[in-house]
Amino acid sequence: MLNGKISSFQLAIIMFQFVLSSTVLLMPSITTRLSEKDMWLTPLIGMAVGYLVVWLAYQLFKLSPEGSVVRLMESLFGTYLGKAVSILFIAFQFHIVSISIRDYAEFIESNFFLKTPIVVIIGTMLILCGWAVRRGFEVIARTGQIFVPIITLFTLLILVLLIPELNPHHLLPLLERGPAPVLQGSLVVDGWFSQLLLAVYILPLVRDKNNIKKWGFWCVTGITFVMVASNLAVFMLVGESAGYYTYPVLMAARYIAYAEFFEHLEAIVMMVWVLGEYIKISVYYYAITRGISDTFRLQKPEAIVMPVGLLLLFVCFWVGPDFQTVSTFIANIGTSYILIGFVVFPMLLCGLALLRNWFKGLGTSAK
Amino acid sequence: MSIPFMLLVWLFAIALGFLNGTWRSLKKREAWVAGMLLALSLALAIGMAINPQLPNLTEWVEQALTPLKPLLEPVS
Repeated sequence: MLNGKISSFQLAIIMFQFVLSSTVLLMPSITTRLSEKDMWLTPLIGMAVGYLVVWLAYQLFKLSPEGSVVRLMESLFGTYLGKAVSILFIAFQFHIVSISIRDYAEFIESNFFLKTPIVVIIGTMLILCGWAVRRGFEVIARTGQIFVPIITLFTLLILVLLIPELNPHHLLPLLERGPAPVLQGSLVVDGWFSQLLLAVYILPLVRDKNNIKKWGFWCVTGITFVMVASNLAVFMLVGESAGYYTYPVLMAARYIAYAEFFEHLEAIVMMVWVLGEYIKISVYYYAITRGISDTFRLQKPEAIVMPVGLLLLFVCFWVGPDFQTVSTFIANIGTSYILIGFVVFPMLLCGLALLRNWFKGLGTSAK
Repeated sequence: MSIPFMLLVWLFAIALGFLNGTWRSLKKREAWVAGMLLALSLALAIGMAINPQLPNLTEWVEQALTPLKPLLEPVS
């Protein structure tokens, strides 16, 4: 049930929204705090890591026996240590997705559903994602294919409607404080791009494997375009005050008012956020379930979908006592943490696998 | 999460288990892994119910990665 086949284009669409879901809302604020006027340049530098991660995910998939990264870990470190490493990697994904879910729920609760208990917001989303995961990745891919164009269109619509309010002078002078703050801000963007590595769990389902890299690179380019557009719109609207808002795009949407009746477009921001988070959480949920089932060689992975969802629900509350702890973590240590898990560790895996293959090749040629 | 909500979540999970009896036909390995995940959830729920200020995962990671903190401190 957890299988199903998808095309590389569908994978690219899913990964596009997977990265952008929280980025558009949270990133402008965090990058403004670090890079100020030059925050709009950060995705242009950060995209290099996006391309690297797409390449890395593809290499790991090619190097893995039967396309399973868990099997690669087992073949590199031995069965038991490999399983332990795999469980640690799954625990890391649990932590990251719990932060994402908590962030989503806090946003919905504090801005729209003021009287709804947060557990209801998290629980309903997890039931929906769990159902999609149980039905197979094809369901997630097809819902993505329907919703992602709508989400992207509405995001761009909000940005276009803001044009009369924008002041390009906020962006000048360029690189006033040198390149260091831009590089710092781009590290935060790298944190978001690095999550593309999760595609390694989905790549075995892709039919047209020859197009994976091509659509992966287009996906990174598309993400960068939307990131730059939203950063530019937010900064040209409010300047350096963007750093003081938690969700500057939501605040920007409240600025839109045409002919005294076309206003309150923040409802669109909520729609974009909910649909985007559905895709993000579903992809993480799928990767975790697939990871656990590969580690323990389960024949019926759907048996653990509900227990994984229940554990996720409780971990969402265990990640932090309040939203302040979680948002501070995202803006600071979270970036280093996610880069270690999704870039440094996979690079190490890839390097070890390449070295092993090279030594094997030497041994064979010596014979 | 408050204790009444935790109880509600567990009641919902148990009711779902009774209504959807597919777990009865699970093989030993699947049942063991699903049981472990449920046991972890229960342990976490009980832990949070007894002590709502339970040391959290994010705190642990923050402590472990403290040397990397200056990397993303704004440059003055």
